[in-house]
Amino acid sequence: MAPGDGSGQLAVRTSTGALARVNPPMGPVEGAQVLTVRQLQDLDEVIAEAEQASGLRFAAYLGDLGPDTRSRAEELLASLGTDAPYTVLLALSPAQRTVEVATGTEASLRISDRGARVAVLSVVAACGDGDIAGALTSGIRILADQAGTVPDRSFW
Amino acid sequence: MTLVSVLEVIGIFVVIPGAIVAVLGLLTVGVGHHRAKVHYQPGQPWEFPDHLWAGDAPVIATPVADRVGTRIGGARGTW
Repeated sequence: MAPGDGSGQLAVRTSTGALARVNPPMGPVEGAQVLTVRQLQDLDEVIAEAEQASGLRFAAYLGDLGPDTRSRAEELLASLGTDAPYTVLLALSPAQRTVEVATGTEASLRISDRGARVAVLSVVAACGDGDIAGALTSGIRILADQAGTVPDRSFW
Repeated sequence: MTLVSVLEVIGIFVVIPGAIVAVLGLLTVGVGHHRAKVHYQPGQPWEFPDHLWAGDAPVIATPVADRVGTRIGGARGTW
């Protein structure tokens, strides 16, 4: 768990040991919720299973990606600090009808760009039906499948 | 030995547990019902706050000296 400061906003430890704010903050957000509690629980479980099996860190972003969607996705990836090289980020911007997958420098050795495109196809198919939650969960499941299982965890 | 009336037995074993169940049921079902459900349809404007979920399971990190990856990979798509 990333260390928090009691304000509800989480922070990550950078390579220099300093605490850096994650922008946007991780975790629950105030305001109208587009996902139901059940869908959020499903997403939590899918992320946890993907991390246990693959040994990589998985992140999902839902929101605006700005004019340059690719650089914003890589910015979000970098905001995870020391874990960024092992992180796979699935960023979804329904307003722009765009999905970006960003794999960290080490994670990209496990998930090829072709494998990432498979997940993107699934996300696009789900979003075409307006199923935002299904897009995030199935996208992360496919990315975890592409990453494969860490050998010493294969018996879990 | 004190005598307990039928009404007292019913009150203790039926009415009081019933009231407890009713209060818990009301708290479970009633509270939060006022929150309007959001149904997002494709093409509607997106007026929700940004969300970021990141798992916290420990990752298997390679020491910096052993890292060989040099580029950030990924893919993009639109619909």
